[in-house]
Amino acid sequence: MNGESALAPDAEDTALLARIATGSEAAMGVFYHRHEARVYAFVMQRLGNAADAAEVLNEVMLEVWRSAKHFAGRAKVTTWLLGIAHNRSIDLLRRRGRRAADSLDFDVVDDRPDPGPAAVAHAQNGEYIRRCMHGLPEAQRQVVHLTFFEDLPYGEIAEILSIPEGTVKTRMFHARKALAQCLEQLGARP
Amino acid sequence: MPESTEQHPRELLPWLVNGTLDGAEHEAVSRHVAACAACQAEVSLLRAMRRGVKAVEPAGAGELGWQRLRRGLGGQVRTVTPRWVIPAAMAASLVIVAQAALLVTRAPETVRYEPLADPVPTEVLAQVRFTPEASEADLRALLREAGVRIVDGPSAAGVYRLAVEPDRDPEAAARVLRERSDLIPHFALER
Ligand SMILES: [Zn+2]
Repeated sequence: MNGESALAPDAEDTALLARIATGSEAAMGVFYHRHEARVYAFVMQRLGNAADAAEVLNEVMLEVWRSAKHFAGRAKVTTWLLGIAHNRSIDLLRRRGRRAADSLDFDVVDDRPDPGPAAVAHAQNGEYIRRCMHGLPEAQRQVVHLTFFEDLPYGEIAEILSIPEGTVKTRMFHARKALAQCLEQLGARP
Repeated sequence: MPESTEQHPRELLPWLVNGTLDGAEHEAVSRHVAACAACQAEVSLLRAMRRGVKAVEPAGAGELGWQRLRRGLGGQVRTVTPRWVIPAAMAASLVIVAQAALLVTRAPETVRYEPLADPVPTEVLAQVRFTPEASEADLRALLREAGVRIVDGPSAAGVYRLAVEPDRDPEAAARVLRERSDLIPHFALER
């Protein structure tokens, strides 16, 4: 391990966490404003409504406040943060008695035809994507979000969601199939 | 070559597209894609999807969320605070509407979430955000016309939940509310 070679991209976050661990509200404020939109957007994928997302965001940031001193530096700060966010989302769904189970992860059977040009054209439309994302099972939506919004490697996504890497790939593959179908259909309608 | 086109590395293409495959994998996958029309089409689709996903504006809880969090940082035990902290733009009359409704309570220090006293009523219709410029009279008139009442909120993000009165038609209510995007810029049906 030669950690000397370059500053990690999240060195600033790590420094903030060190200050938060000493009880700096100012550092917590900076951290909050840096990451609240990211946490909120991520938990929305699972929770699907703004009130719950704001609730979980608050819990996540309180946990950061309390456990900053335990941040071990083994993972990137964002991976650690989104992992907390995922766990808190699941907790809230359980408290609500809502289904918290992950979607079933079937083996991929690649039997559908390739997407037509319509799907490609419509995919770039944020509104179409938003509508089609909405139709995905939550667990797949999370993976799409982490892959294409956060641009994370599959290994980190697996860590955040506490699932095997193979499951990340499988979910992404199912999601992409469903999205392509949805986008084609949206385009076919006036 | 035939071997490489038979085994498409399709499940890795999303991470080729987001640029996070590591050295060896990146090299192998790139080499395959360069020679495979099917995977090139797939990459085009995934690139478009990525652009679409990034085009969706992330919301957030913003400044109000920070104020809320900050109150919880002190760690002092607070008495249970009702959630009805109506912003200045929303005036007393709305509180009256709300009083009959469910109370969600929280103790900031322990971050305990107490489930609603009653289960969420089945008639919960939608989540909305009101424009700050809306007058209380406008909002009251609109809610009455639609036959809805506020049952929850505001969240840190300023979102309220609306329920349909038992004798009113949810679809008609949604139509009425949607038409007033000048007062309700954000309207989302609940499942
Ligand atoms: Zn191929």
